[in-house]
Amino acid sequence: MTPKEDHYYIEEILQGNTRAYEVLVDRYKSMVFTMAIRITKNREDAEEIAQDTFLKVFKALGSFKGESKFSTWVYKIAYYGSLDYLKKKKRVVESDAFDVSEVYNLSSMESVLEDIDRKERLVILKNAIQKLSEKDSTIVTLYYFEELSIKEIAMVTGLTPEVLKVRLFRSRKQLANILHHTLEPEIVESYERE
Amino acid sequence: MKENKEKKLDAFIKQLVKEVALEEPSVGFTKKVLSKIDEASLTTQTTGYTPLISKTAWFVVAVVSISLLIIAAYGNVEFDLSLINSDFFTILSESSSQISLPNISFSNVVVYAALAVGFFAYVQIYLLKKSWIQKEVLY
Repeated sequence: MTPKEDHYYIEEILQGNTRAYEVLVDRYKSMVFTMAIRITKNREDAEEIAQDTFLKVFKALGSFKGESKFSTWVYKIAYYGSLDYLKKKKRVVESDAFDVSEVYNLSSMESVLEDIDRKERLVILKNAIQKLSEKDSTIVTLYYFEELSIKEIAMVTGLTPEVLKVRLFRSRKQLANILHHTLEPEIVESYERE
Repeated sequence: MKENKEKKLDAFIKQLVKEVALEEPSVGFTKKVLSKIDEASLTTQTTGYTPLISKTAWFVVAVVSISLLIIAAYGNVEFDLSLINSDFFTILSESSSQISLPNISFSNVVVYAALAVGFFAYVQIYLLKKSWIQKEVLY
């Protein structure tokens, strides 16, 4: 059985079947939670923001007119909710400002990453993404994981397509540089072995 | 060459982000959300989109205006337009001719200065917009 489209459940909810909301929450909770983590860099805060996002979505469901995809609308609420949360708590998320010069060597990084145990590799990769700024790590996840188009990300974040392209270009280089710095000892070691 | 390098980096980052995948919230997340909704008894508050002017109101407005038009066209209606028929417009034009606006003249320097201020205001708008976009890129 193919899963039903979002608007089917939205209609159900608007007609009073609150249980139908369970499906929508299950469908988008991971992405919403991930976005909140990328922005706040904190699991507890992210959990609170994600819950709050789904409450807001539920309350505003009647005003959703279907001009964009339901997911895009939910992500937008999550994105602004997370940024507002940071503002309220007056927390400044620290992100390492890596330069965008190309110090990395892709092929050596790839081979070193392949040799690392999967669990350890995941930790390294997660940490690298978390080191990007809150906006950049969210944009990278929406673009590369969720495979949203630039236009859709622009709808979520309110940034222009030009700005998004620049941010993505810079984030790619920063990520590669962060990984290079993290993996440097292993890369040197692999050179020495050769 | 450079383009090829960019493509390789793009593919590398995509693979990396896909491998990291998404974070999972706590096990009872969905239940917590639903119970919060129940708690706040939000069910009653969730209402569909209601337009400012309801369909019934539009219907009433349409019926009233159509019937007024029909009455005006076919009904036996008499209008008292004595005010317009009298010298209403002549009074109006006479009174306006009595008002004299001051005759203001500007020197060339003032005109050029105003034009220059206008021009630089536009330049400033353009530069400000550019700097805001730059800010969005950075922060």
